[in-house]
Amino acid sequence: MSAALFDLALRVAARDQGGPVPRLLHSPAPAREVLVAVAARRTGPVVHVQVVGPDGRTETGSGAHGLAAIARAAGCAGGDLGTGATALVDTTATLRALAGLATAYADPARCAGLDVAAGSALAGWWVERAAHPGTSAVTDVLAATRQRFMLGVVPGADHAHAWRQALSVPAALGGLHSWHRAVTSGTVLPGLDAIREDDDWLLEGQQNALNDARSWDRPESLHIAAARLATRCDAADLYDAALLADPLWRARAVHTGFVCHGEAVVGAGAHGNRLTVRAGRLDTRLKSGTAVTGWAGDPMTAMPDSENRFSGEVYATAVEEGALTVTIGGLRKTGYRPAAGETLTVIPAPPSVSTIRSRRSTVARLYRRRFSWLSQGATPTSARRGVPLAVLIAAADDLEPTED
Amino acid sequence: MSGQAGAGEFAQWANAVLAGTGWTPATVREAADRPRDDLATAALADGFCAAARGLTAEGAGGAR
Repeated sequence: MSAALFDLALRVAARDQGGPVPRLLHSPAPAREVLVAVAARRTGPVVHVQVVGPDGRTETGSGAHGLAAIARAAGCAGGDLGTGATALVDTTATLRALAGLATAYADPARCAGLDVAAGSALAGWWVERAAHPGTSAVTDVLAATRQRFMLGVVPGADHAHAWRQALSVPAALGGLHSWHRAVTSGTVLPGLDAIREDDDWLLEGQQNALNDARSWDRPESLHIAAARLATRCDAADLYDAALLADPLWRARAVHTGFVCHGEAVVGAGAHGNRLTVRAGRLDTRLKSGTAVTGWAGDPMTAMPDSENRFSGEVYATAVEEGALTVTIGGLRKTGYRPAAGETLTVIPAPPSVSTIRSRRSTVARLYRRRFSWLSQGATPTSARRGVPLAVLIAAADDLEPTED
Repeated sequence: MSGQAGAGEFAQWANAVLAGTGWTPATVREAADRPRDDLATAALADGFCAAARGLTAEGAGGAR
């Protein structure tokens, strides 16, 4: 509830300001070197595509010609996807329409030319990666704008037209380029490199399929299906952690319980590996076993580098005399060690990229085994994890039927 | 959204969200300068503080 009041204050401030108020100091949407604004609409069985490339030229087409238009605008009509062009869209309807169209022409044997096959491979990459927050393959500028700014209107009234007006964005599709520039100014949220590497991995797969003149939409093996679910979950976790690197988002996260803020009542000292933080708020989401990192200062204090942060694990939480005490143990021997009396900010530790890679290697190895563990008599250790809500929602989202 | 209709709708919505907090759309800006004694006031004060910080940073980074 108090996060709703935090947002209300932003809306009131935006209303007083007469324009958008930032929710993030960083850009939430990384992008590639080449950007193309895309709109796709389905009319009956036909998908109409309009694309504006970096040179400002508008390319249009329907069905296979729409895919060729994409390839021309992105500069990959010759079959070289390059480093991949970022798609700028302002509605998820575009991606839903492109999903069916791209899949229908996934097999180069069904395409009249290489430009159609290249457009299909690129659009297929967009559609797949769009489900990963923090991707550099696609930017939904409306969603990114709502993430980064707040307008002085009631929730739900900040529709695309209102944002275009507030940011002085031209109405045509080409306006998405200037809209994107307005929303992504400044530095990108840190910690999204691993998601970009996943973007690269899938793009390489699309390029290889295109080079080999085979369909990029082959049936998934169990391993690929598991890997794709894992990358979606990892992307959601990495993106949530990246948001906490932004001081304005941390200020809000105090009111959602993800950021704990208080005074060190028992410091780590020179040799100890525990500290206790006393916080005025009881509604923290930090619980026993949660890996955390923290530093001296308020939530809006700039997050220092790892040498000037402490890292550990929540050992226990308790309520004493109306205040929350959080005991953090397993502190490193080197680097910053908080002293008693210091004001501290504590957040969940970001996911370890090396752990993610290691887990994926293990899963890949297990799926490559010739025999099932059922026939080997050695039951593997079960490993379960929560699936982020965003991934569940994406999985529940119905896709439109593919174009015949 | 602008004009009388927008202002009325916004005030009505803000009233509903602020119900029970002791604040109203007319007084809510004062929360920024009050001690953060309760969760509602702390949230409002932090929100106004974040907005000011964000706008300052935007100004320093150049007008969009």
